[in-house]
Amino acid sequence: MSGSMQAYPRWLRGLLLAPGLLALAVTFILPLIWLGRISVLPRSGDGVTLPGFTLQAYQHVLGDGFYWWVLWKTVWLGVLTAALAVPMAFPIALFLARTTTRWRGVLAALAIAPLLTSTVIRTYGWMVILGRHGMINDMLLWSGLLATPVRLDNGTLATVIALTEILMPYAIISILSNLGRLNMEIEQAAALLGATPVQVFRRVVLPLVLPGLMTAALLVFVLAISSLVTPQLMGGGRVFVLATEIFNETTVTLNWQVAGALSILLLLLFGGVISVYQRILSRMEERF
Amino acid sequence: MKRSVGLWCWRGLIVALYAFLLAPLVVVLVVSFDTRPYLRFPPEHLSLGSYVAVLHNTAFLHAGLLSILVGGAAALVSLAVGTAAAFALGGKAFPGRAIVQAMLFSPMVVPHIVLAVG
Repeated sequence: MSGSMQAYPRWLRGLLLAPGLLALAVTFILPLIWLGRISVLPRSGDGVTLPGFTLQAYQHVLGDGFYWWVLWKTVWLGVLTAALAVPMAFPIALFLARTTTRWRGVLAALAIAPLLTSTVIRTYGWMVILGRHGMINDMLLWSGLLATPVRLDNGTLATVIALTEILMPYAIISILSNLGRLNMEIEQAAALLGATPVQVFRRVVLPLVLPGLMTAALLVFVLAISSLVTPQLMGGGRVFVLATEIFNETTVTLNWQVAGALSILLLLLFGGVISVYQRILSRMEERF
Repeated sequence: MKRSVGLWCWRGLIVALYAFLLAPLVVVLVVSFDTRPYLRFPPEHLSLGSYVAVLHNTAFLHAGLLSILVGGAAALVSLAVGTAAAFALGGKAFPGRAIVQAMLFSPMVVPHIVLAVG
């Protein structure tokens, strides 16, 4: 294995890495530093940015109950979406990993296909389905279960439904790659020793893929709490999450200081979630 | 007998999950053939009117061209830069490799809106 690994001389390795690190600095690290700077610049009464240093934006954000409520809503949306998307993605991944049909390639492509289209298009599709005169309402009215159409397209529920569907392919890919590493002989051995299919699943497959499910959940959560288009369009201006709030501060109220402070808080939230996740994962790996 | 019931339940579940996953795409495809100016499903008449309108809309064509240019340029640059970095990271381990790798992956998990603001 190590024989096939190329040992590059120092200068060549540096040369190979330099463009990537330069691009990272210009497109990623500099904007983040700039963002941190904006968030601590003073702001005059009529909205002009002044030189200096102040924590006003942070005081404003942390002292306002509204932003705490937005933060809570953001986390809740992410948890709900992850809790729905992962259990729904798991059967598809399991099916794709185990099926022997010759349509496997097509079915795998269909599961991933939604990723190739933009979020805007799929959010639009959900607006048609969940809208006031959408498919769901038409069906409920037609079947006589409802007398007047209900509003499904305006709020957290619609946002969670759409986000679940939009982020499911990520979870499918993540779980599928984990299942691919699973040795099928272990399952066959368990079955041979007399375990029923349900027992094999619960006692053998599930513990082995649990870290993979956790990774998928983290991925969906992270993508959900940073999503902008879907909450903005599906929420109809009534779903407030950190991303939509940052968007509003930069495009509507033009308060760059608050937008910067909110962005830094969102980054801190990310760091917190990822470190908690890693702690849980390492504890789980100790146990098995 | 009991096994085949379970198998059919499993297949039904897979079909239902696929339907959920593909529903918005199918709906958008079908609605694109609709003739009415508001959102309603299913369409009453099918036509290619919307497609003709799009192809006659110069603003849209310009936007489409720009999308292709931006996408193509981004793909080319990241492919070149990424391939070089992947070669270096895929080679023999060197001090600091884990840090460099983590740094190069970090833009994936940071919300795009944060980067756009910066």
